[in-house]
Amino acid sequence: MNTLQVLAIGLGLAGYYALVAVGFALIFATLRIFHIAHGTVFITGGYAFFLLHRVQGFGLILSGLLAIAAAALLGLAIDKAVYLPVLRRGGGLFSVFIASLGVSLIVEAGFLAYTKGVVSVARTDMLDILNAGPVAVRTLDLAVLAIVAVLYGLLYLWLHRTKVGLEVRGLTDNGSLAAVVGVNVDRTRTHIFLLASALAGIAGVLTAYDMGINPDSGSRTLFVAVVAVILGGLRNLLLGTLIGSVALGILTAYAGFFFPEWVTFGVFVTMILLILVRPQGLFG
Amino acid sequence: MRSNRTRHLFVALASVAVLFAASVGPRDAAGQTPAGEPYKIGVTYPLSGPQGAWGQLLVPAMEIAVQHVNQAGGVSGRPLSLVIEDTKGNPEGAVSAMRKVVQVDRVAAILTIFTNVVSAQMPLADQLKVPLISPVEAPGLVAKSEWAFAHSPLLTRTLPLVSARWQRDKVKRLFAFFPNTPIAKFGSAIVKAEADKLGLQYEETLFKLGDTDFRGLITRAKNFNPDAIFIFGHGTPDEGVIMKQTRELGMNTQMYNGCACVTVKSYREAAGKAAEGVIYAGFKYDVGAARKLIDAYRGKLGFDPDYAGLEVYDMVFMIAEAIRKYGYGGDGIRRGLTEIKDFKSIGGGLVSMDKDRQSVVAVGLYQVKDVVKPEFVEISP
Repeated sequence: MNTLQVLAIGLGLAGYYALVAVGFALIFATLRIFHIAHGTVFITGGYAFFLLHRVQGFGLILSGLLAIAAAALLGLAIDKAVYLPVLRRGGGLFSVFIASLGVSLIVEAGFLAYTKGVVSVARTDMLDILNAGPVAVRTLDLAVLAIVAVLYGLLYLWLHRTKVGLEVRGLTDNGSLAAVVGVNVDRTRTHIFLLASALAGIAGVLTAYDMGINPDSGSRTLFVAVVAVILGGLRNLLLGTLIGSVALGILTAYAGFFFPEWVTFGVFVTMILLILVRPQGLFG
Repeated sequence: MRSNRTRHLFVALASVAVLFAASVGPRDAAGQTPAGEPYKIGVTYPLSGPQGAWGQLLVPAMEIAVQHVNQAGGVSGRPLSLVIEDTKGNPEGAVSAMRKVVQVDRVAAILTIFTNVVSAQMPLADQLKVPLISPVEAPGLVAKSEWAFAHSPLLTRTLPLVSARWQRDKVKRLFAFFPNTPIAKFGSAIVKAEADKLGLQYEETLFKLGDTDFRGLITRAKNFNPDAIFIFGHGTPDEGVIMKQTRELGMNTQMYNGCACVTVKSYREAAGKAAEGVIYAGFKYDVGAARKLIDAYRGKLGFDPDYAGLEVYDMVFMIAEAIRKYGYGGDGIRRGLTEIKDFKSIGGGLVSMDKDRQSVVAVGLYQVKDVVKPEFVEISP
């Protein structure tokens, strides 16, 4: 078996999971919202990029930036137009979860109606590859890993060196106390949704460019990202999601090699085992 | 004098009346406008759902065929028309759509598609005595019903052209991809038998329709180190993605397709440049012969029809001919379709129906030269 090739594929996948997972984790850790519509934000970024670049012929960078902005705004809109009204009307977090599921299904159905379920790939050119013996490494995978490294570094600095970042960490530790000591929860909430959704948008853009995107790509990717978050735990948000994403990337790559029809099953089993054995994740 | 003038006036008016009557009303001559109640053909195709793209691509080709039939005078002076219902690509939707077009709209023949759909519709066709015709490629499927017909090149006809090429290119190791659908069973059996006959080392794998990352499976192919890769499926973009990801995993292996699926626009768009050089065997598609359809289709949709568009175009003309010979009714159309012999396909070859109601079509071996134009060149096996 070409172990190194499968490993290379796994590390490439880990990059996408890491971008989606950290945004999901940020929202869940601070606001306790199981933001299932995060997958919808991911595919919206992907489809926006596909439409702008592939269909309308806009430039690569401009299309990417606009698509990321669209994803960020959609995420924020979901919070402002759906989650906050539910909470203000006395609905609990479970109601928010149901509303999130509803948004996800509606948007997914919309994309399915538009695309008829056909894969939308935002490029026709082939990717450059680097051959290292029996292993072919796509330059895009290296670029994704570099992007993830830079973004995680910036996230670390943001969380630890900026006022907003400190407020976010405060919310993570104790939401009620953070509000009492003067954290502007609404403003911080806006920052969190914008940032998390932009990260999902970046992942969507890269995925649409790489493998292409389907209406159900969002739910599938989000599901793996959630398991990555569970694996890593929420105590050390960045390191936890990164390690979890790498583990899930490698797991799904090996599953794709040995049992491609059982990839989702494999991820499910991993999740259940994690919850049974170490529900707080690797880092608590 | 007065009576002569009156007689002359009467003759003149009568002549004008005759000439006027000759210029309007039902006609039989070709090129004249058909009139009267149209002969209706039912169309049960997916217009929505995961396979909705096929309906969006093929219904326009049928509409063009109907337009061309009517422009040539219709069928015995009467126009053809289509009654279209969405099956959503699943058997339940197909049966429901079929009931509607037959029992409500009273069509006497049906155009339909997909193995699982046709399988569900065949018992109803037997019951309602309505012939249905489709481009299914499952060998022996339509033999199970006296009312089912297929117009398509079977893998058993196209594969020999491809395997002749394998022999010529001294292929020793063959890796095949099939989708995880019913066509994998017959496809795999046929390809494996051919590989055994040629003494090739053979491996295969199934891919899941709708997935976007096939690199795990392709790594299996890479491990096997084949001389040739064979892909056989439904002509969905998944196969194009497999081609692209194969190249992006560093494999330069020659790729082959068991049908003309690469002529489908969405397939080509997914494959990109990776499809260039692919060799396939499929429905004969002579661009010169099909010019009339290609120009009309391009005018309607902005791009060329794929091989299936030619098949459904043929089917409309086959039904029209059957009506012309034996009248508009299930029995007559069935008889007409059964007796098809040397029908001139829009793709340029001649078509005859075999005893199992499967058309025997002209097939060719082609290579993709340019995926964007697109350009497909016929090559020798």
